[in-house]
Amino acid sequence: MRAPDLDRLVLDAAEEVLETMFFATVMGNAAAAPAGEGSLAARVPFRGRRSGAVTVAVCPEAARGLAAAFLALDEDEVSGEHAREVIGELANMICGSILGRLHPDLIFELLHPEPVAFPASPAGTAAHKAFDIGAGTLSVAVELQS
Amino acid sequence: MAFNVLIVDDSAAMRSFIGRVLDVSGFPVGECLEAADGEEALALLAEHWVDIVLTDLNMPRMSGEQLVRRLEQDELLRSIPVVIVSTDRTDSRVRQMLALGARGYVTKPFLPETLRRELEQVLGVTS
Repeated sequence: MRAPDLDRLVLDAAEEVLETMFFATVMGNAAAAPAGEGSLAARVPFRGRRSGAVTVAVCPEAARGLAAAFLALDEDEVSGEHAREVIGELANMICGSILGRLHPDLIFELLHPEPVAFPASPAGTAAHKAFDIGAGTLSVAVELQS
Repeated sequence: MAFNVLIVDDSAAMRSFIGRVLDVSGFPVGECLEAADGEEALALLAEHWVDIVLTDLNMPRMSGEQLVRRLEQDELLRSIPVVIVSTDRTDSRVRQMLALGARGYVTKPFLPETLRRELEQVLGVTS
């Protein structure tokens, strides 16, 4: 699949997950991926006929808002642990959505989301998109091996 | 009539989310039990009867696939319908789990009404 198709697929997956489970939406592309103190990132490796990983990074403001929406809490009730766990689930769902669109005919094993440090643009990245989600920025990086 | 539900997912946040979604969807929930993996689920099922099991697939210790296989091997527990609730949405995986004995499959992300409809269909109830 050519890179532009994968970019579109990443956008579709992010929109679907945010709108369905987090009461959020993609407003447009962002100039840069989230980075710096307080930003959270989770990486979901997958294996099967194709292997790779999907990494989702979120700026601190967006992480709090997404965790609050998912857990039905006020933002000031959201702990760091809450936010880390919810960003892991967000990465898990975006990964599943991407793989289901990319290879609906294959079976994958998605591994447990793991917190990662920045930069979130590792070697082998096939797509890396950053989105404005209103409360901040969110980025999705897709690594694909053969 | 209210249904006793067992939610199996290694994420406490996701278990909480699913429980809340069941509430807001209007699905009649009686007792709502939670387990973090298949082993915990089997331990709970040894002590509690539930009407339906909702399970994730990818979990440590015992996966949802292993849980379905174990339930299918048990004379009594095989009568409890299992609905897979997973991020894994490939057609191949859905077919595989239904062939193993799962009665329904809901992919994350999902809307509350999608989950409610699937449970109603599996349990043979109408809203």
